[in-house]
Amino acid sequence: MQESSRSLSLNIEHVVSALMAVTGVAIVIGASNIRIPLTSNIVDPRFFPRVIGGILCVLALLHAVTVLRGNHGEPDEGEDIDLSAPTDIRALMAVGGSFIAHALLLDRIGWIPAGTLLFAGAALGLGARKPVRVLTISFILSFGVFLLFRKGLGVFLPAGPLFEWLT
Amino acid sequence: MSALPDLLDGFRVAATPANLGWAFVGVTLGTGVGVLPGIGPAMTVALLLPITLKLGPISAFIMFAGIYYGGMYGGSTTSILLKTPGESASMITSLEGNKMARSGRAAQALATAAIGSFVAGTLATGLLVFAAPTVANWAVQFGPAEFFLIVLLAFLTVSSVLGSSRIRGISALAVGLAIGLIGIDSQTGQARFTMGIPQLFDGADTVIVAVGVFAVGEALWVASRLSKSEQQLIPVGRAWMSKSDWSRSWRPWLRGTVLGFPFGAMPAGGAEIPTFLSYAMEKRLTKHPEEFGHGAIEGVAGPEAANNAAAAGVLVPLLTLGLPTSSTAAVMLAAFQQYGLQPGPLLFETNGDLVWGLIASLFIGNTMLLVLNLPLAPLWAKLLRIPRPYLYAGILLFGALGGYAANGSGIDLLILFAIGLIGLGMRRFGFPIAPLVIGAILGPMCEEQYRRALAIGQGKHSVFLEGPICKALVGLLVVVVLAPFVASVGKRRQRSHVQPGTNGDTLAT
Repeated sequence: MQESSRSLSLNIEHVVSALMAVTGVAIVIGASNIRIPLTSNIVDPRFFPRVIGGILCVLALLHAVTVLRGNHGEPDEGEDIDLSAPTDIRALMAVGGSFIAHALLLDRIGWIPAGTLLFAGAALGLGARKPVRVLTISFILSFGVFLLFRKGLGVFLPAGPLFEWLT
Repeated sequence: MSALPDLLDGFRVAATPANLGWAFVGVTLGTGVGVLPGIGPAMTVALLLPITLKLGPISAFIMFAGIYYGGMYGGSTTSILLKTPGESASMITSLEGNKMARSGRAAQALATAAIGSFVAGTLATGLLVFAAPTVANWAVQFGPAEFFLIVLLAFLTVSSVLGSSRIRGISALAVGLAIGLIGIDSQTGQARFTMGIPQLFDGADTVIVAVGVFAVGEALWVASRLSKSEQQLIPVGRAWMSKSDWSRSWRPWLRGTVLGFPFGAMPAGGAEIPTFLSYAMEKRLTKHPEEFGHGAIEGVAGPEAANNAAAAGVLVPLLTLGLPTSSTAAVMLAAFQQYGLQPGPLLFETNGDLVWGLIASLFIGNTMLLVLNLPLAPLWAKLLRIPRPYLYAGILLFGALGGYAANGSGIDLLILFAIGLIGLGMRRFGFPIAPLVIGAILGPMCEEQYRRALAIGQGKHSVFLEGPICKALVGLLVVVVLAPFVASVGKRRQRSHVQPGTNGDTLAT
């Protein structure tokens, strides 16, 4: 580890630097598309985006140099985190996929099915066993949340075609 | 002393049966959610926001006061029993408290944390009662130039004093500022970076930013690296302390309060520094130095008191200047904005009953927490047994609920997920989270004040040097910018004498 960090080699953290730089450039370019009304103040609405975009570009460069010089970002620690393990792509995809599916389906199928999908998908993706139990808990929880928030607290959640009768 | 009648009015507002009920719900939920592993106070407040959505503002803020302190209490329980600091400010508690718990003194660690939190929270809230109106009266005279400089000062300290890497801290801030750009420009009404999505015209909702980086980001991060090993849980009885524990605890409580409040109250504050200072101080003053590092009760009592006193202190800049200096305060600001309230010097005049009701219920909530937590510690500890897949699935479910409930639109959930991905990347590559949240929330204010200041100064930057307050703030800014360089040059010089070639780029605090 020590050796590879001493020699000036590229690193996965440089992808982060690159993303920062791309974002910075995109903001600077995007700023030119902001319309400046005639009544504009002394400082126009393009000024701040340009400054922030520029700062991001400078920081991207500094970050790249920092990493090159062997100062690596330390991943967040925690009791539930195993830093020695490689990234668990499958769990990440399962959890992320469940969330995206929830986001896309919520307005169509309603909170209770979409919430069940999110909770069950995430729990199973994170390694919960006994799918029937997981599904049961997911359904009860989503159902309870719907009742509590929609009925009890008056917060809007879509019922969806299956549970229209509840509202 | 004019604050006392106001405070009494506040108690009149907060002590109605209904509002006492909300305060109770708040402290219970705050503790219950805050005690869950991996959930810090900021995430607690963010996840519980939707519950208050349809309440009247006064009841909502009374509940928030309870959630705020409850989340802190819950967090310390987790740190002691599981060594999972939900935020950096309870790191010390987890260090020394967990050692105590492992050596069979969990009950005493929980007791000194709970009673210390109560003592420090009550004293510091008392200080808040007098400090807040004073600062507000003073802040009424601030113009845009002063506000801009204060925001800048908060930005710099939040992003560069905390954390181990200043580049990463300032980068997190810049990303937050970039997120803050999205939406209609308040000065000219022009859309900026909205990509044609109408939901973005009002800007990226602060609740969504907070829930995204905290809840979704944390769940994704844990998913990518979930530890397969079984958790070691420490059995715990009713929290209690012996006479010698009391005599070893009360001085650290008071010292922690004295350290914590001013640090929290400064517009550059935060709770991390005073907890570290308190730990160092107790370590030097103790009669049992051999116990430090192995579970010394002073090492829990002092930092925990400092943490809670700072949490009360943080409310001074939040309420009087609208300036959040911790991520929890940033989420609280989002809650204020949800009700169309802008904290600032005028809040005490325009919404006096609300502010004083909030402060009064901090006292009430704190007392409820003490009564609730000493006997119920074993019950809360049971929550730590919740299987991790269910815990993080639940965090996602309630995160989605919060993201959707804010505006009732499915697109917000996709934005929430995108911000969650940023949160995942930041955790993976060692970027601190707090500067992003604070940048996203304060960015628009920073820009607005800058533009207004320059309009007043007719385009000349000399407007930022007019008046004594501006000059003092600019001086402070220069110190904050230069201090780390001076320190690192000094260190490098020292180091080059002692052991050349050691890694000198890590600029520690």
